[in-house]
Amino acid sequence: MWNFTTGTEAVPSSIKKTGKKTFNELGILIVLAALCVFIGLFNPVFFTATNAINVLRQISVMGIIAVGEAFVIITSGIDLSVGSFISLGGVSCAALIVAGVNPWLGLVLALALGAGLGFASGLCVVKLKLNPFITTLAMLNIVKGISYLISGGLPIDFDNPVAVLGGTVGPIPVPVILMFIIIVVGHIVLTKTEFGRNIFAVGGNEKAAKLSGIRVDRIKFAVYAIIGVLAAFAGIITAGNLNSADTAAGSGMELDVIAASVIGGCSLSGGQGSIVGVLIGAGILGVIRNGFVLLMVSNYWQMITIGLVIIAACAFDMFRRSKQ
Amino acid sequence: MENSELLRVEHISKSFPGVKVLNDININFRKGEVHAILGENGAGKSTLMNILFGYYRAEEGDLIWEGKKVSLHSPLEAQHIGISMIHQENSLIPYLSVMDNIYLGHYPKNGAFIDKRKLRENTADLLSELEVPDIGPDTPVEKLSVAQKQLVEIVKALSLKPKLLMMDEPTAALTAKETHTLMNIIGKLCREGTAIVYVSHRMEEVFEVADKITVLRDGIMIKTVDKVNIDIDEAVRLMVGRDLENQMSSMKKRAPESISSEVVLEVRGLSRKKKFEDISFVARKGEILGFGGLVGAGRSELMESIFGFDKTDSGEVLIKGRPVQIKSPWDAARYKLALVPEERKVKGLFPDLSVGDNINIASYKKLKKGKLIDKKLETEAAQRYVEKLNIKTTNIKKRIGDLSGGNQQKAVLSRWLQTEPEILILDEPTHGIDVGAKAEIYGIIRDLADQGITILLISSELPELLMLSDRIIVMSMGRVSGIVEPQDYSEENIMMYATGQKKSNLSECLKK
Repeated sequence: MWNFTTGTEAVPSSIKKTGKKTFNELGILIVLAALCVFIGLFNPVFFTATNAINVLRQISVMGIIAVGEAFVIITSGIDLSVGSFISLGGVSCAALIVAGVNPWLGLVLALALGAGLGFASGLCVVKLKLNPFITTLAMLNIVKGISYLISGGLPIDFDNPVAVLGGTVGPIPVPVILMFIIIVVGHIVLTKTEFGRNIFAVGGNEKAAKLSGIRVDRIKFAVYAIIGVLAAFAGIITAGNLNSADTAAGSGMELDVIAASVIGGCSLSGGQGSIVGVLIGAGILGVIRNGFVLLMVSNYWQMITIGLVIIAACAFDMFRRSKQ
Repeated sequence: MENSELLRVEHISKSFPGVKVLNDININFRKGEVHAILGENGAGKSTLMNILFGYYRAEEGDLIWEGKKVSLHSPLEAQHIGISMIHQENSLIPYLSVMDNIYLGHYPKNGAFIDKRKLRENTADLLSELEVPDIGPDTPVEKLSVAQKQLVEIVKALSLKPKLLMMDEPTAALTAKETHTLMNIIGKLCREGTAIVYVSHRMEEVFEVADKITVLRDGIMIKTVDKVNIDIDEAVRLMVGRDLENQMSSMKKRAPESISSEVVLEVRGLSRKKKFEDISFVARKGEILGFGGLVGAGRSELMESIFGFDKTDSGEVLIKGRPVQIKSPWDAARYKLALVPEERKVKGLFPDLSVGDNINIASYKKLKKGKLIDKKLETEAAQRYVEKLNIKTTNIKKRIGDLSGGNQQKAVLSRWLQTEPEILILDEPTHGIDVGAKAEIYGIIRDLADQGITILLISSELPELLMLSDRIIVMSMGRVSGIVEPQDYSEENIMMYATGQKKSNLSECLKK
C-alpha cells in the first residue's frame, strides 16, 4: 500500500542514477584561461607570482562584496548601494577608533552599521514593496551622505590594529585570504544550507516559495543585511590597506560587483547563479585590468573590453539556457 | 469530399535530446470538422500542435496545406497561411485592454497610426458575434477573471480569421456557462468551414464536440476514428494502454460511519472582503471534504486565507479544538497544514530548479545533518517520492520545467506530503493532467485519507468531486450555499447549489 510516512526504505535501483552534473561555469572558466594565455604570450610578466598576487589583491574587495551581490541577485533583487557602504564602513570604523573606542569593537560596530542599513534596504523592498533598483539607488545617496557627515569630507587616519586586515601575511595580502574565506563560506551557505536553498526558491518563484512555507520576508532582509556587512567589511579592509579612511573610497564599485556577478552567471531575473561563477567573473575583470596595464593598452580600451565581456557573458548564458 | 481536406500531416517525426516524442504521425484535418487529439501528458499532443503552429520543426515528414507542401518556420508564418492556436497558458498582457490584446500584432491602421475607432468597433463586433458576455473592448485584461481571460484568448485567435484553429485545453479554466459559450462558438466556426484541432483531458467534453478522434500514446499514433465508432471507455483504454477500471473501482464510496468523528479543523464565520463571507465548516480526521462551486466562487481564496497566504477580516480557525492564528504559510506548516495550489506554474512550481529541489524545498529541516543539508538524505527523500508517486523523470537533477504537467503536479504534491501534514488542502489537483496521472492522484488522495489525513478538496470537475468526497460543501458568490451528503450526490444537485438556482440551465448544458 502507498505509505508516505516511512522514511527508510531502499531506493529502487531503477532511478539510482542521478545523472551527470553539468559544470555551468565551464564557459567563463575557458574565457578566463584564454585571457590569461593571451596576455601571458605578449608579456610573460603576467605569469609571475608577484603579478598573480597583485591581480588577486586588486579583485579582493570586489570578490568579497560580489558574494553578497550574488545572494541578492539570486533572490531576483539587486544592490546598487555597495560603493557607499564601502565608504561608510571605512569612515565609521575609523571615526569610532579615533574617538577612543576599542579598535575591534569599532570594527564590530561599523559592521553592525552596515548590516543595519542593509536591513533598511530590505525593509523598503519587503514592507514598502519598492523596487530593489530604486531602493538601493536611494540608499547609495543616503549612505554616502551619512559617510560625509561622519568624515566631514576629510580622510581619517587609519593607523590602528584593525589595519592588519589590509596588510600582508608573508607575501600573501590579508584581503586575498579574507576573500577566499568569504567565498568558501558563501559557497557553502548558498549550496548546502536551508537558507541558501531558500534564496534560490525566492528568486525562482516568490509566490511558490511563500506558499511552501518559506519566510520570504526574512530571506530578503537577510540578503540585504549580508551585503551591507560585506561591503562595510570591504571598506574597512580598504582603509586598512591605505592606512586612511576616505569617503571617496568605493565609488563606482557597485558596477564592478554587478558585472562580476552577471559574468559569473547570476541571472538578473533571479533563481540562478553560483559563488564559483562570481569568483571567476571577478577574476576576468581583474585579469583584463591587469593585462591592459601590462600590454600598455589605453585605459579606455579596457573599459570597452569589459563592456563587451559583459555582453558576451550574458549572450552565452542565454544561448546555453535556450539549449536546455 | 476530397476537396474538403485542409491540412494533411504525413509521416511526421520529432525528437528531443534522448527521446523520440513523435513517431511517424499521419493525420488529415478537414474543413468544418472538429478533430480531437487524445493522449496522456507526454503522449506528444503539445509537440504536434507546436509543429503545426511553426514553433517546432519536424525532423521528418511533410505538412500538406490545401494540397501544397509547406514548411513553417515560425508561428507568424503559420498565422499567415491561416493556422491559429489558443494556448493553454495565458499569453495576454495584463496592463493592456481587451481590444489591444486581441489586435496586438495586426492592429487596424489609419496611415501610420492605430485606428482606435475601428479597433474598438471590430472588437465589440467580435465579442458580440461570439456572444461573449460581460466583457467590453476597453476593459484592462488584469480586471478579468481567469475564465474571461481564456475567452479573450479565444477571441484573439479568432480575430485572425484562421482556417485551422488549434485549441489546447480551452475549457481548463472555464465554468459550465463559458464552456457552453465556447461550444456554441465551435459550432458556428465549423458551419463556416473552419477546421478545429481540439485537445482536452475532459473526455465528456471531447465526446460532445468532436467529429473525429485521434489517439496518441508515447508519440505513436494509435488510431483515428469517427467519434460515433468509439466510446469513452475504449478511448481511455487506447490512451493509457491499460485498463483503468481496476484503479477506478477501488474508488467505491466509503461508508460514512467509517470516518472518525474527531474534528480536526473547524472554521467559524471566516470572512474576507469581496472574496468570501461568513464561512463555517468542520472537517474530521481522515475525511475528504469536497468544495464545489463555479470558478470565482471564492473557494481558492478561502483556502489561501486559511493557509495564511492571504489575510482574513474576521472569523476563527480552530485546529483540534484550539483557536489558532495563521498569519503565513510558515505558520500553517507548523500546524501541519499543507496546500497544493491551483495555478501550478504561478504558485507551485520552481521551474528552473531540479525535480529534487522542488520536492524537498519545504522539508530541508529534516534533511540536515548539523547546519548543512545532507546530500544523501536529500537524494533519498527525492527519489523516494519519485518512486512512490511514479514521477516520470530521467533523474532527480532534471529541471522540473521540462517535465509534463502531471509529473510536475506529483512533484508539488510530494513536496507537501514530505512535510507529513495532518490537513491537506488540494486546489484543483488534477487540473490539466492526463487520465492516467489523474487515476494515480485519486488513488493517492484516498490512501492519504485512509491514513487519517484530513483532505479539503477543491475541484471543478464534478465527477471527480462526487467520486472522492465524503461530503461536499458548495460555495456560491463567496458564501456556503449548501452542504451535500453522499445520499444526495448528483451533478444536478451540486450545480443547483453552485449557481443558486432551483432548476439550473447550467446542469443541463453540462449534461449535453
